[in-house]
Amino acid sequence: MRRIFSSKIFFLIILIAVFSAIFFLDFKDFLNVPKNYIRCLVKPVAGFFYKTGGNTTQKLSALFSVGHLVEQNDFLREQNIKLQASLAKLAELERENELLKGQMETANLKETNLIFANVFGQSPISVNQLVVIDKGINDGILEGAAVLGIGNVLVGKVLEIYSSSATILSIADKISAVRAISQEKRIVGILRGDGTGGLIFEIESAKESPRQGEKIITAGESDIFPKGLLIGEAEKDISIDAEALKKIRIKQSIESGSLENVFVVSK
Amino acid sequence: MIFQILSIIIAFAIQISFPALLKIGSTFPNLVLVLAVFISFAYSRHKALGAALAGGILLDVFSGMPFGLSMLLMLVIVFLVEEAKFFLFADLSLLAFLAAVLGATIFYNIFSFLGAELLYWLNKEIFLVNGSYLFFSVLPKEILYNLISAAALYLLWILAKFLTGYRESWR
Repeated sequence: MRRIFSSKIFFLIILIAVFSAIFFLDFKDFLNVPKNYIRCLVKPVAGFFYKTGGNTTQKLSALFSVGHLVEQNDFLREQNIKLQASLAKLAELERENELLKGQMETANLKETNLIFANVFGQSPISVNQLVVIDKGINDGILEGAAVLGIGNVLVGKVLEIYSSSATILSIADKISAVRAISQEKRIVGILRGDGTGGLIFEIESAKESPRQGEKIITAGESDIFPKGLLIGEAEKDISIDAEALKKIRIKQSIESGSLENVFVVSK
Repeated sequence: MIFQILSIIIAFAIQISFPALLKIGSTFPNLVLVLAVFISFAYSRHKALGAALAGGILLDVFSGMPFGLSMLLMLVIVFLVEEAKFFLFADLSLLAFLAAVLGATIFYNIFSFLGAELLYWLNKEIFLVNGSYLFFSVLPKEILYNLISAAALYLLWILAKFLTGYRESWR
């Protein structure tokens, strides 16, 4: 009995020693090379499944939407009439669009390079909103760099970096916070992830709310995110009276769950 | 042991590759954890520890959490299940398996949070999770989802056993 007990104590001591060494080596970044090898090893299998997963999701959503096609057709016909009426107003709006475009093309973005990367996996645990890409230090990616989706839409920033892969923290993660501004009413606030893939725009209670559908862009007051990157559009005021901050739900232009390719900003 | 490790790698690849299909809200099942518990139920200790080690390394490398934490927790979980199956679960019933998956899910989430908090105290650069969000929003859904996955896996195993005439050999 004593021998069993002492052997278990011995095993426990060895286990604590081994894992203390692992944590220490990880803190000192000595494990980045083996971690990168493991990622490279898993990349082909994960990449295959990720692509298959994306295709299957698209096919399934198409299958489930067949029932709505007739309904959608009526809706589109109605929309078409409305759009023709709106066409007349477009000439006037064109000038306004030019101004908005100028705002989007900020000086910072013009001087930066974008590195194209493929997404090959997402966080294996539910509590994080992370994606893994196939580019890393060797490709010029820097830790903390902004990550964009198609159309210069902000999707996150580089959290961890290895020689040939990197982990991206989505702006929809619960711990993410980005200073943002509404494009028309110029309301500045903090954009936080709600953890479920959605975004919450927090503004002072005294301030006016952005109108429904108003574009939300980065305010550019940090070194990480350049000014004028599109994030999404205001959807619904979900604030409770007792709260000090007004909370607006934002519909993300690109959800991290549906990402296949991204562009990493590199200076 | 190669078969067990390969199945863990495939479960992991599915877990990180099919989020849109598997997700309810933002929660999806921890297939690696469920499979590791299953392997410790159905196979010998060495095979289970090998599978837990492989699963833990993969979770560590991709989760953004401190490296080694998931590996340690998976090893402890498999070790505890191994001990419990000799003393508590006389038969490999569905109920016993679900109880083990329930315990493992709670254990894994609580201790990964506590472990990350402790390691954050030692090194401020590591990535942390939001505790209230984890315990009140993610954990209940993940428990339910893991139990459903476990039940499906158990039924598949019963079917495979019936078709192949396999008998468990852990005793």
